[in-house]
Amino acid sequence: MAVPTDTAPPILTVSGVDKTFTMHLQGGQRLAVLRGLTFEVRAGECVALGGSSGAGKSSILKMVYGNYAVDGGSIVLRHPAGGTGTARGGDGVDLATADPRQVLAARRDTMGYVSQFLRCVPRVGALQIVAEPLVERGIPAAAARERAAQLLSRLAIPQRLWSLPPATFSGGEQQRVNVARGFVTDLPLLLLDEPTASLDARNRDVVTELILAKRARGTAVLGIFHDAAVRDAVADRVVGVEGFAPAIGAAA
Amino acid sequence: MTGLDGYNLGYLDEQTKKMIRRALLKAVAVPGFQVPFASREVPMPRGWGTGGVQVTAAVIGPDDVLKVIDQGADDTTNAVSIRSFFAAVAGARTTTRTDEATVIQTRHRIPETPLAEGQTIVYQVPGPEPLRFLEPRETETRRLHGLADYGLMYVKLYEDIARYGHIATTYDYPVLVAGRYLMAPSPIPSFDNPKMHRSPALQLFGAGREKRIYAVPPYTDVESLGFEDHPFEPQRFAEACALCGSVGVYLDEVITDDVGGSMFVCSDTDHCERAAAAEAPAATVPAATIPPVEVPPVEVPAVEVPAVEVRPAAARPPAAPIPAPGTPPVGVVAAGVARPLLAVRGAGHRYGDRWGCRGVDLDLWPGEVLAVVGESGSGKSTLLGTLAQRLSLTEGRIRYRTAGDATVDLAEIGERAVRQLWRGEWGFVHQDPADGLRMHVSAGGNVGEPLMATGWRHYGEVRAAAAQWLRRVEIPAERIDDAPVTFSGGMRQRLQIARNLVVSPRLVFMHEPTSGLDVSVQARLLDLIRSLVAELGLAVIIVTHDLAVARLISHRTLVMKDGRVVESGLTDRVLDDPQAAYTQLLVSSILQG
Repeated sequence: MAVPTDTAPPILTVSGVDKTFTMHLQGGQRLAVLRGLTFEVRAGECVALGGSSGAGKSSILKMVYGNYAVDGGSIVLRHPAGGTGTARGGDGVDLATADPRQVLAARRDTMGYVSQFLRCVPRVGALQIVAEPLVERGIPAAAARERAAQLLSRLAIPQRLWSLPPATFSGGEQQRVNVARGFVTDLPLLLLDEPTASLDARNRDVVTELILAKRARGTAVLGIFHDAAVRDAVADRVVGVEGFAPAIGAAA
Repeated sequence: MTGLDGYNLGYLDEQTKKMIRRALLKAVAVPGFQVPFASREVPMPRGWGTGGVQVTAAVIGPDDVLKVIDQGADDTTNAVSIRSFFAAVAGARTTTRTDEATVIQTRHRIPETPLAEGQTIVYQVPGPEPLRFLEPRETETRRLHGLADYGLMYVKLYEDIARYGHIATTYDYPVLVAGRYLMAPSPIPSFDNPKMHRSPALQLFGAGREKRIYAVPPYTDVESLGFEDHPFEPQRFAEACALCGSVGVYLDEVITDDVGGSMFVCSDTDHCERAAAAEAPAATVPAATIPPVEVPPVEVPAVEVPAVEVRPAAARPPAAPIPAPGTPPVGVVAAGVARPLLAVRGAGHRYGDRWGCRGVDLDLWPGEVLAVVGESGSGKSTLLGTLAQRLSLTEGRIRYRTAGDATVDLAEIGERAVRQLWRGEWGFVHQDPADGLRMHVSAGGNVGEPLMATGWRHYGEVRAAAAQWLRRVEIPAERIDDAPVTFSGGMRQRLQIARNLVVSPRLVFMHEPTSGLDVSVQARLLDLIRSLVAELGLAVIIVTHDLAVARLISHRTLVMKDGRVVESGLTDRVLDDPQAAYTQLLVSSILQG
């Protein structure tokens, strides 16, 4: 396993992050979820977020991915040295305050995300959905499709389904297409939101292998794994999210 | 020489003649430009040559010799009547001989005998606007002339070739005068077009009903339009005139009996008579054996009348200088990639005392898709119209980085420059395809028009590019010659997209492009837009009330309410973690499919 030297700065540094949802439709009720969330993820390391349902684990992934707004604190993403373009190694970008273009650049060059559910695009076939992230990064279409095909085979999606839009697939098949889409690129940080939910044992093992392979190549992984077996197999350590829950009544 | 009692010499009063002469001077100064004039009543119906009669009345003088022809003939009712009219009211000498005349008034022909320096030919014009065929709005055609934006004329020629295999326009064939103004030469046969080019005579055109006068001064270039691979071809006749034996002249077919017999004879009776006389010197060919002829264009001649005099022809300055085209270099800023394509600060548009939108700031970068969402009346369409320069900018600034990497302030560059942006760098996809397409022009012509407007002059290339784009938007190749009126709603919208993208724009405005289509058609269109935008690296501003559309194709979203931006950011951030109360309401109102 390519464990980096201790002196290398973490790829992801989360410090003092607060998150509160304000629900204007319910009379402006405020729901505090996190206070002072702090942790780091280094290259080649897999960190699991622990805690019960509703503790804010998915919200953390979404804040890191720029999908949720951050109320306070910082989320600094550093692209490892050797990067190019907007993602050169160095100071990194604070995703808590970054403008949309910086977030988009970070998504393109530094971090990938496998959500809980595949967001289907009408009329686009599974193979193309999986190949798309590569094409968007300038990989020739033929090569991208080839890599996508390898992943889909590995995840046991029958070839006759490849040209069909996944909207009509079963839940497990959709999730595997989603995993394939997230794993097809090689980005320094991978965010996984229950990648093995709704998968059978065989496919769960394949996904576990894929995660381990990513780590071996130096990818940092931050994930939510409800399945204890998977978590034990892939994670170096667990960050307990409940430790950062605000005190009861401290919300307002 | 006196006119009829009670009438001024030349029939028109002196003030009217002065007014017409002023219009003529302007027309001569700006060759091919249509000068409006206060067309008067003359003693014949509108459409029977009133424009020509007024011009002739304004230029004819006591020393002039007038010839009048009607489709080449000196002896039709109209020709005879107008001749006798001027003989009576102007005391003018008249003739049927082209070489003796100083002023020739004509309906739809140029004589076969070459015109000479010092002669003036006055054309009767039924329809002065060559672009009217495709553009019904006078304000728009004037603007097109002002900007020398003549792609439209080529659309007509394109349609001819697509339909008939060649340019089928045989009369009133459009010409470009002195390299600047597009002009209708009146319904003369295209056979006569070459005679206009650098003619030593002064050519004046009068449209009485349409109240326009225009002119071609002597020795002016008159170019008949065409494509490189389908150049202008004047009509040709294989036969010789059955009466005089002339070849290479314009012939009319004359029916000689009621069992289908016919013969071809010169349409120019003066030429025919003299050619026949020269051939058989001793012969006594009766002069007016040639019957009048029927021909396509409008107008039926007839006149009867009274009397007076006039003055010699107007001055003839050379061709006027042409205003230099090109974008004015306004506010040029240094080059660089790290600047947005469009930078908007504090933009607002006011309708009377209400603001449609106000205080809008945004930057749009190349390759970025920005969605503007909000309910009806939120100001999103007003914002789009303001950004697209369709509505005035009441306050604020909009700066745009051109393809030449100059940053221009859109409020300052002027209409001509903005139009150039529309032709080469911008596109606009309307909600209703009928607003963005020419519904009665073929699909190929619709897609080809922007190319022809930017100078493409090769029919084969225009057609190939159009065919390729139809393929890209999934319209079957065999529909290329069908007009969008025969297309389904989804096909029309795809055609509109092809028409917009064919010139590889850098910035495309889209106004609710998918609403009004049924769901499956919507999905197909969205997928198409999504892939084309990614493939071509377009910057897009799309107005939609459909948050699903925004999520599917946009990078960033702007939420508007009551003319203000209430929230903006990454599309998935705005939709998944909306901050503003109004956005939360919008998001919570989405139907779950």
